[in-house]
Amino acid sequence: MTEQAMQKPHAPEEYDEEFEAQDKGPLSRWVSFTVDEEIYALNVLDVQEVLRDAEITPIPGAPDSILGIINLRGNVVTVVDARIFFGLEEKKYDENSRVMVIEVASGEIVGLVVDSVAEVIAFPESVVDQAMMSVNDDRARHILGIVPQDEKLIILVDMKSLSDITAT
Amino acid sequence: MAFDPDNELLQDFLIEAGELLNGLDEQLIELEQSPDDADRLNSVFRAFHTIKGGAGFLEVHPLVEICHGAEDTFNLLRNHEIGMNSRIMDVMLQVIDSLNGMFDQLRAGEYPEAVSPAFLKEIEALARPEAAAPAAAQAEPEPKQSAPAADTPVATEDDAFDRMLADLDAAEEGASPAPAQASNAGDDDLITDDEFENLLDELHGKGQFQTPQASPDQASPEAEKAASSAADSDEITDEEFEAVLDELYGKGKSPTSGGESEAAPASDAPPKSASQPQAAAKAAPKAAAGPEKKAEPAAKPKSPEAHKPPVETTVRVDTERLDSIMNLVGELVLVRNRMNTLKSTFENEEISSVIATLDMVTSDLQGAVMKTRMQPVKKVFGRFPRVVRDTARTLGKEVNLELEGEDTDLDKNLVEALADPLIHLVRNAVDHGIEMPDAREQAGKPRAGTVLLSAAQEGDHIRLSIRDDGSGMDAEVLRRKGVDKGIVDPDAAERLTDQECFELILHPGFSTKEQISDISGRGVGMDVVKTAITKLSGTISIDSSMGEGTQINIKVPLTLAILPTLMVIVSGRKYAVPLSVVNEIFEMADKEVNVVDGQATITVRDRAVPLFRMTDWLGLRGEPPGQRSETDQVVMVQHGAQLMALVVDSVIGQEEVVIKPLGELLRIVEGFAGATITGDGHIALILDLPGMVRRNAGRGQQRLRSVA
Repeated sequence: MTEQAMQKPHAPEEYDEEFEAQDKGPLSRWVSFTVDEEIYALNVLDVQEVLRDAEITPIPGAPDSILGIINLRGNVVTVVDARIFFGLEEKKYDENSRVMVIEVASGEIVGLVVDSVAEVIAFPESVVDQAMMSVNDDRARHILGIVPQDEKLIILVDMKSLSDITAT
Repeated sequence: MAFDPDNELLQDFLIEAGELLNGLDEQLIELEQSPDDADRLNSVFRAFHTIKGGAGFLEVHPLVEICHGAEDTFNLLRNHEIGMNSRIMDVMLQVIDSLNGMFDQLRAGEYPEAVSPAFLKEIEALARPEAAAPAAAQAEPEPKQSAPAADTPVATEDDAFDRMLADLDAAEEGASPAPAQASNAGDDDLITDDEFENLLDELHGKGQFQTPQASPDQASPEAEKAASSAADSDEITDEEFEAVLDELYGKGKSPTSGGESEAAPASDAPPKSASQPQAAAKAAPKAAAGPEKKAEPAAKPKSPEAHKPPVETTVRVDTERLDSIMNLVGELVLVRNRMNTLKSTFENEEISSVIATLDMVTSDLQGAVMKTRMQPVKKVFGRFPRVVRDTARTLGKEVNLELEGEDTDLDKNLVEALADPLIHLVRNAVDHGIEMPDAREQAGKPRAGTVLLSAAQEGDHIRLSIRDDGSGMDAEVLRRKGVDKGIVDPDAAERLTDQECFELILHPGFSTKEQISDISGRGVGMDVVKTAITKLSGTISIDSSMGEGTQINIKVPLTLAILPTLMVIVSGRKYAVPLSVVNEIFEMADKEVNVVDGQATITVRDRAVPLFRMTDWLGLRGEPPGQRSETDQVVMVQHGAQLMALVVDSVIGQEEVVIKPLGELLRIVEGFAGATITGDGHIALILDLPGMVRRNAGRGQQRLRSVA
């Protein structure tokens, strides 16, 4: 876990304490991001860092879902387009776009390009557990659960299955 | 019983003994060539002994058993009690194989399976004089001096000792097999006369019993004298007893002293055990030779080296640590490259000179670190005598293997990665290259074929070559075969040079084994070799002439971590072409492009070379097909025996790059060997020419319009 990931502008430290004070039990933190108007969230522990500017070098001949590679402090990291992964239209990398650096099931570090990264949200674990029970869809194994928040739905995802993206 | 694989003692043992084991293979084969090489016999004996000692300490009994048998045999061999023969050699090679299997099990943390009793018997049988030359019996009394002393404490320890005891008693009694001695002979009181007879027979060989009998009164007093002077049980002190035991078995073996010396890791044990057997070896022939020499048995044997163990000048380092140092140096090289790029923008002399120094130091550091990863190619070559021997024996051929340049250093990873392809090639050379002895004689060649394996450094490359003086390959047959298999079309086949024909065998799907192997040629799996070599960014080429033999040349870079490349620009992006495949670079502008056979070609020095546009080859999404422009440059590359002209937008120049592997997700993408971070912090993909050619195979037709 790197420092950057924790320093989300909308996630001040006191936020947690507020929650603890309300006595809702242990919290789990999620990084929320948007892809095509939908709000998703990845467990904070799965996100290594979030990159603002990334120069993506395309790989000729790679599958459409793979945008290319980036230089992450001397390491070459493959970058995947979340839109294609979710089966959506392509969109050009713009000023709101971010690369979320995550570890996938194979242990490989992968960059996931999303439309924007919003904030770190803390949910009581009980809420998350409940959300996870309600989703049972084999076709979308990356979806862990859905949590309603401020009249919106936040889709909790697990991107570990990204490692299968080229296997199919 | 399972082992904790993290057990440090076990790890030390596996490393030390593993190295000995690797060496044994080679030494055995050399022994077969020169069976009387006393030094080698001794060193083989010592190796078995050391392995046995370590295994005994770790209580790996199956290992002990098998080493023990081998050790016994070599003890007899080095004392010239039996002669080397191919049966012993075969069994010993099997022993090595079993040992290797056991080591693998140990490495996996398992307790090794014992070898079959039948095999053990076979090994033991070797050490029995009947199996060997008549000379055996003479030296058998060797253990005389020690046996009385050793009587009670060790006798039950192992059966060899029992035999010695029996032998000793027999000798002392003037070799008359009186029943009374039977009870002394072993620790078994119930032995019958017949059994005792058999035992004696076994020890001395049936006809050989006369030797001691001939001069019983001479021999036994001497024996007794020797025994009493050195080791008489009444007068012996503990130290003397220890000394005698040590002398006989080497420190590690004696049950009383075994513990600490074997427990001591690497540095300690080998020198000791190395010297002890030598001592024993000296003592033994003496015992047999004559009375006058017997007087000085216990005193002399220790060789001087034993007293001054060599100073340790080496450190064992985990290869992972070396790899991480290598990576860091790689990063440093990148930073240096960036500095070099920036240097021009500073226009400050002082900064320039500092950067120049940094440049130099980094280069030196890079070289020095690379050296730490270097290993002599001997490590791979060492296996070949065995491979050649086994293959030749199976096929009934006579083959001599010559090795050249064994001391050539090469990156550790390369050494490992090259082992399998080379074994394949060497086996092929023996199998398909070298003819049967009779056929060779008819062709006016010596019966025994020669396979020459050589290694040499050529600049930043290592050249390995495997040459045989066999029948060579028939280019015509290969050409036909290539057409039959649909690898080349008939027209193209006609135009292939002989060398290109030979290289057809490297093509997947060109399994020539059944048809061609009786005429010439190599068999199945050459494409696997080629793939392996290509993966190491190496090249392979074949040269052959009918009746004279075949030579296969492999060129691999000195190291895998840093790759000299040519940086080119295609569609505004940098790509690195490994310099190893680049032949030449020239301007496209004034060259005429012709379309031959549906393929754009360019004529270079009267040779038509197929021309490909990199943009089209890469086929990047959203990139328009390449147009010919005045500034185009052509990079001539070598793909096997085939020259190709690649059109690029421009050539930047040569750059040494650190290869960063592409992630697992990109494994399905062919054509790139990895990526690198350029001097200005960008990423450049490293081209993998064979992969790129594969990827574009059969796509030639559509592209030529844009080129022409």
